[in-house]
Amino acid sequence: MSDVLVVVNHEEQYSIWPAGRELPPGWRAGGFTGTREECLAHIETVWTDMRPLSARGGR
Amino acid sequence: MTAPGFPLTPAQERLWFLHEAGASGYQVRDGHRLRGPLDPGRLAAALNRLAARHEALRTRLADGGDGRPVQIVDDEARVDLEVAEVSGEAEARAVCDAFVARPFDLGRAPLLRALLVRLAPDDHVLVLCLHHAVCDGRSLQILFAELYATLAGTDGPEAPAVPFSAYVAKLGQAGPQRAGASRDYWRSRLAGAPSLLGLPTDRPRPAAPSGRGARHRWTLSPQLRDALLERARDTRTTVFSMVLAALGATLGRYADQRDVVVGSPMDGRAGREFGQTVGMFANTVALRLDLGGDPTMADLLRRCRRTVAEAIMHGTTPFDEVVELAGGRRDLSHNPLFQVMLVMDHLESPRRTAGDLLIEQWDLAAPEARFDLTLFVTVGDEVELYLDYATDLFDAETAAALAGHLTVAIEAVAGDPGLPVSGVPFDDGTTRTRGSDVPHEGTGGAAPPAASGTWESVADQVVRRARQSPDRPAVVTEGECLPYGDLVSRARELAARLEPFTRDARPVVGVALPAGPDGIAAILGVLLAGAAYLPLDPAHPPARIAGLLRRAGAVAVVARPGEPAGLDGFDGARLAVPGPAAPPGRGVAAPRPGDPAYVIFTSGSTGTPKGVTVSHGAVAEFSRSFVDVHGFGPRHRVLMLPPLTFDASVGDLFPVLTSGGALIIHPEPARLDGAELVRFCAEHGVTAVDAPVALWRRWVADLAATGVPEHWPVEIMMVGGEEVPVEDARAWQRVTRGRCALFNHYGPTEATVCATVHRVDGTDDLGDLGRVPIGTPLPHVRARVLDRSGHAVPAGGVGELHLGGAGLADGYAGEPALTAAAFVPDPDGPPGARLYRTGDLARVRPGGSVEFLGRRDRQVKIRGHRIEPAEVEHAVRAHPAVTDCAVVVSGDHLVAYAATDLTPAALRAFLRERLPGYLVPSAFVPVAAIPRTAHGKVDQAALPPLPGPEGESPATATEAALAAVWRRVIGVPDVRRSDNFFEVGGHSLLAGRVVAEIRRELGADVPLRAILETADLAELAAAVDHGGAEPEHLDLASLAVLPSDLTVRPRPARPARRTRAILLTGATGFLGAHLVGELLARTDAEIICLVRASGERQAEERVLGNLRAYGLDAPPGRVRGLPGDLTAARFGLDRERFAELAGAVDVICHNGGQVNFYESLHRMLPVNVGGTVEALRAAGLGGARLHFVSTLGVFLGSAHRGRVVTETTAPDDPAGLETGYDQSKWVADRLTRLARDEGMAVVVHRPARVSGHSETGAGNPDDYFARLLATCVRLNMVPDLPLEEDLAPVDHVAAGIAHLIADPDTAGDFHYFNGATISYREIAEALGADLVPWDTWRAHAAGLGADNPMAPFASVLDVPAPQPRRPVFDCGRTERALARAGLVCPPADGALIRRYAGRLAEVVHA
Repeated sequence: MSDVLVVVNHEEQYSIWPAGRELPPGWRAGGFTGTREECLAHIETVWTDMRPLSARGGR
Repeated sequence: MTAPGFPLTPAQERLWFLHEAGASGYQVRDGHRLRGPLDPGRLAAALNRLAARHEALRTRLADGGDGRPVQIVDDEARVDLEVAEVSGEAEARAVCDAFVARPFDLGRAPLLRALLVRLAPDDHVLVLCLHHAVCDGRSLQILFAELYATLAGTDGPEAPAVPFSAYVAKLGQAGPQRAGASRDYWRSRLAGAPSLLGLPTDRPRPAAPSGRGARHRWTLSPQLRDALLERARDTRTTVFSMVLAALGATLGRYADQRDVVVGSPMDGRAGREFGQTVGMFANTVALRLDLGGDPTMADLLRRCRRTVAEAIMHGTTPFDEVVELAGGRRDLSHNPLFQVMLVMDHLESPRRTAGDLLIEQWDLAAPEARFDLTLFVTVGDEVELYLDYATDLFDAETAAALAGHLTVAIEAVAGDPGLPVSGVPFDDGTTRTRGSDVPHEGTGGAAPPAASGTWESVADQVVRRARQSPDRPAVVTEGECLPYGDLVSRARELAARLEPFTRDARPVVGVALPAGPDGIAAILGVLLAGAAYLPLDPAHPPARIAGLLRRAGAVAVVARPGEPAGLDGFDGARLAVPGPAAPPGRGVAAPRPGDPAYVIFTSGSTGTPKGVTVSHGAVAEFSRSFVDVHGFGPRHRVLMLPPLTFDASVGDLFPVLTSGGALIIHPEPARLDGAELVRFCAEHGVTAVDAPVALWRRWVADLAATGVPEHWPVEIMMVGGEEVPVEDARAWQRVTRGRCALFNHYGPTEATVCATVHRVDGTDDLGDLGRVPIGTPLPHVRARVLDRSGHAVPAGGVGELHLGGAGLADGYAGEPALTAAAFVPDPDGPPGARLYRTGDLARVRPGGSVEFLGRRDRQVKIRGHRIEPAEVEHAVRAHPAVTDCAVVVSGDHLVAYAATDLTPAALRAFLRERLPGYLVPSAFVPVAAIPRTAHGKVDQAALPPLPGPEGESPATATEAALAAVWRRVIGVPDVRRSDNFFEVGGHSLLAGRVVAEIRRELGADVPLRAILETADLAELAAAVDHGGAEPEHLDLASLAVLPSDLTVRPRPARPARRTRAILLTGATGFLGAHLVGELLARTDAEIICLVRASGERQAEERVLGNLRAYGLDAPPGRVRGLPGDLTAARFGLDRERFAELAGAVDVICHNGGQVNFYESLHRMLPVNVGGTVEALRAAGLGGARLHFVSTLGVFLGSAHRGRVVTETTAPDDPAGLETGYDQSKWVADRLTRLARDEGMAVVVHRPARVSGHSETGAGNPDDYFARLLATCVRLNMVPDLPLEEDLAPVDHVAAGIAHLIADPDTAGDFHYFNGATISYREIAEALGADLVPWDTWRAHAAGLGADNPMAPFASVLDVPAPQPRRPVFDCGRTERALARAGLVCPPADGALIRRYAGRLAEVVHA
């Protein structure tokens, strides 16, 4: 049952979203679909730098 | 002269049962306005022709002897046409509404009443009212049609219609096979169906519904009507299925439920045979709708169509049987299986004329609410909808909103088949729009824009404060005061040492220091260095501290030497506390908004702590909001109690330090009891306190007796972390004399400290809330209430609270999956925005504030009911003798642990008056205290083990006999003391048989309700042992508790001499009319009469009409009608109007109430006690003197029997009060005296039997004595009873009360018992009637049949020998006080009796 989608926003923050429903504005598909658990496990592996994009990098 | 009886249909039997159980309102009625010439004689004749033609109209129901009723058709049944003359429409309305409100006696045919109201010679209103047991909606249409045909001279059919008994016989022949298949269908169809639809209600569901209802009506637009009909045609669906789909979608969204059951009546007239027969052909079916998987409207419609088709196919299974098959538990608080009814009417074009008569619809008062909601849909030239709603549960505003959403759903069904149910736009802005964002305080919804200018971190803001006022105190402890200048230089010193770590990164640095100058300087130093701080408790085990440091990826930790000792496993640097010297200008990096400011670990539901990372931007936004909301500034000194490891500390640190205030630290927060709080705050000039709810509640209790000193400096109390009970908030208002604002803070760490705030000012009226709301979002926060599929719930609906906006945390440190699951995309926010799912259930109250309803994961489902244990805990704690409570779930039972001395039985009785049955725990365990964790949460593991299985065998002879009856009737092998009748398989029809068996076996007469209302066998046995009276456990004293928000203004030393305005309740009653008259005569005050009416004019008209009915009159301008309702909070007035009223009147004469000698206590409580509470509230608010008209009936209990009662005797013991009326009045009487003890000016008037006017003889023809007298006159016989009747004429009682009201110095109690009584021998002599033995008299009276004036009091005729049971009343004080004004009660003598009898004769023969 693949009913959930991995999604990413402009800050490269990950989340999940019901597949088949229109993507919320400002979010894009993260290239992975599966069950909720599969999606969360996928996120665990790809979201390695949890800082918002705007706060990454040195001073 | 009667035909032999024949059985009832199951549907009829159900109605009989409901009638026996005390339910009224099962009537079928309608009214028409008839314009044109009308001869009442012809109308009466036409009605009698109907009775001759239709068997059902000659049918009555009688006990068949085995507890089951039979129906008996009389050869003849005369329909009485009651005729009333009225002077206007308002009066006509009142007369009609009173007419349909009268109950039926099912033992007397016809079960039809007709009323003709004459407005003018050619203008009438005709009302027909039938009991549902002999009539249904279609039948009423048949009756009206035939009636008008006769009147028009077009003469309807002459021959008798096909008799209803033929239908009964046909039902009996139905094949058993088909019945079996239908039973199987219902069993599987309804397996596991929810018992109760969890609609969000405006008020909690009462233990027993009052039946009060109101109606919202609307019409679909012509376009929508056409679209609906067209779509029905196109899809070959019925309009019914379409409306059902719309209703199901709406209810599902409201209740956030995917399984919804709706009821609907089905016409059993299958075929033409019974097409013109009057009778009860309707059977109720349960339509279970599956909203799972978010179907499109087209899919849902298909599901509905199939559900309806199947229901029709199996529609002959009696509803009661269906309920049994579904296996749900009965609960008297709501209808079984469904609480929402859908009724569809396809209108045959209604008759507009009958001969010369023009027929118009006449709207009657909304019928009694049998369900939570009933939706009537009439499809004709227009689609008209009525939504009848139970006013126990819903306000008019809510019903209107629901109606609006129904229309939206109908639009979707008709116009947008592809739309998923979750997409129906319920937050479309056409009604109250709270579906999307919860509005901010005082704004339209959107967060106000951020202030312009360059961004500055909280640390930089503190530095700026230090530059401005370096010497102001920043952190104060008992031994030390750290000024801003020193705070910042110490912070800089640490920042300089951190420089090597922060050169290229934004690392995390641990701070293992307690709250104090060192800890706070260290936090500021870490932030100034551009790092994020991780607060750690130095008292925790080093291994745990090391673990947290590691998980947060900390590079260093600031700690005192040796504290904590050894941090093996942490390989970062260990830094000393900040020192005083600061090398200038080094190590300071301006943080950016996206940089992390802190990581705080919270214990998650899984038990593993999660490190919440919060950015500088979020802290700054939060801090600014907090400063604004609380008005923090340099003059504030804030007592900070949370440790630095709780994010609540963030709520003190930055708002206070960025606004220039001082943080005050108590050395030992654990030691802070009420007295210490008062002392410490006074000593340190504390202006604001931030505390967890649990600690604050302890202070409230500690200070309840003493209050706080006169010039206590604390003006702000901030609490959070738990629910705030309203009683405690009220107590706080009292303790602080209304001079301290209470802020309820709500917010998870994930939304940065606090997301919503509710402010309770010292003088706010907290109304009827159970708990203080969590309020409105802070300016930088977005709050939304969403259902399970992530869509906005309709306005007021229950859902999960989601938080968004600038205050959201980044996530959980090192936990991508947990973060992604908890922080979800916000489809309606700015692009890319996220929402945090709080896991908290909430709804938005009509005022716009959010109400917390418990944790989503704590909610449990027991026997189909969704149960929130917190709600039950709340109700248990409401008992004044309970200090704390925890409710846990054990199997499918609720168990309540309560810290109290009360017995489980007393607690159960208390709760059963307040909670619907399914919320009353099945076991109560008294404990010394509820074990709680350091965070104030219940420590479930430390609760004592559950009591063993409640399986005691019957213990008394009665219990054993009852158990035998149950085993026999229900057919179960074993019955135990704690077994509930319904749970062991009993059902409504068996209950009747149990009553019959108890009568036969035990010779005891128990009312049917006793079977239904008692919790278990033991309780029923107690009821049997007490002669079936209200069970003894009824603890009336526990009901007489003054609301804690009642304010009492002390009596002024010199009351105002002049009375300008008097509020009078009950002005439309008999005594009320005379009170109006006497108050007009004895004062020059304006008399404001609170009565139920649709508007002021109608209210006034009702009062004046009632005056005229008793031959009284009012000068213009002195009487003002005020529409209101005794049973509603603040009489149903809004806060302002109530306060205005309370302030405007000098006297409140509370005379209103419900007089009825058969109603049970709980049905009378709302009016008789609720009304008194509101009167007290008004008197307390405005300082008016309260005169309460009670009754001497409060002395009829066993404690006073045979004793002397004077005006100084206090009716403190209610034991033995028999009627619900006396019981409810006792509670009200006691409440007023309690208020008097608190200092309120209260005078209690207690009349005994108020009889007719001493001069005119005009009385209330419906009261007991008037009817007894009328029966005597009719029989020319008087019963020889060993009683002396006391009769206090109404003119005397009213004059006495009014005289005492006019004198502002009146105090104490006054009794109106006419000591000059009259014996039955004297009554007989006065009437010239025979004095006969009671048995003779009652036999003759019963023989009068339908004409017996005593019929409404028929049960008195069953009493073998009425005995005096009253005390000896000595009313010397009242008599002397009234004699001084020349008021002497005329004796009850033969002349008075003759006047009454003469007057009655006029009425009877009129």
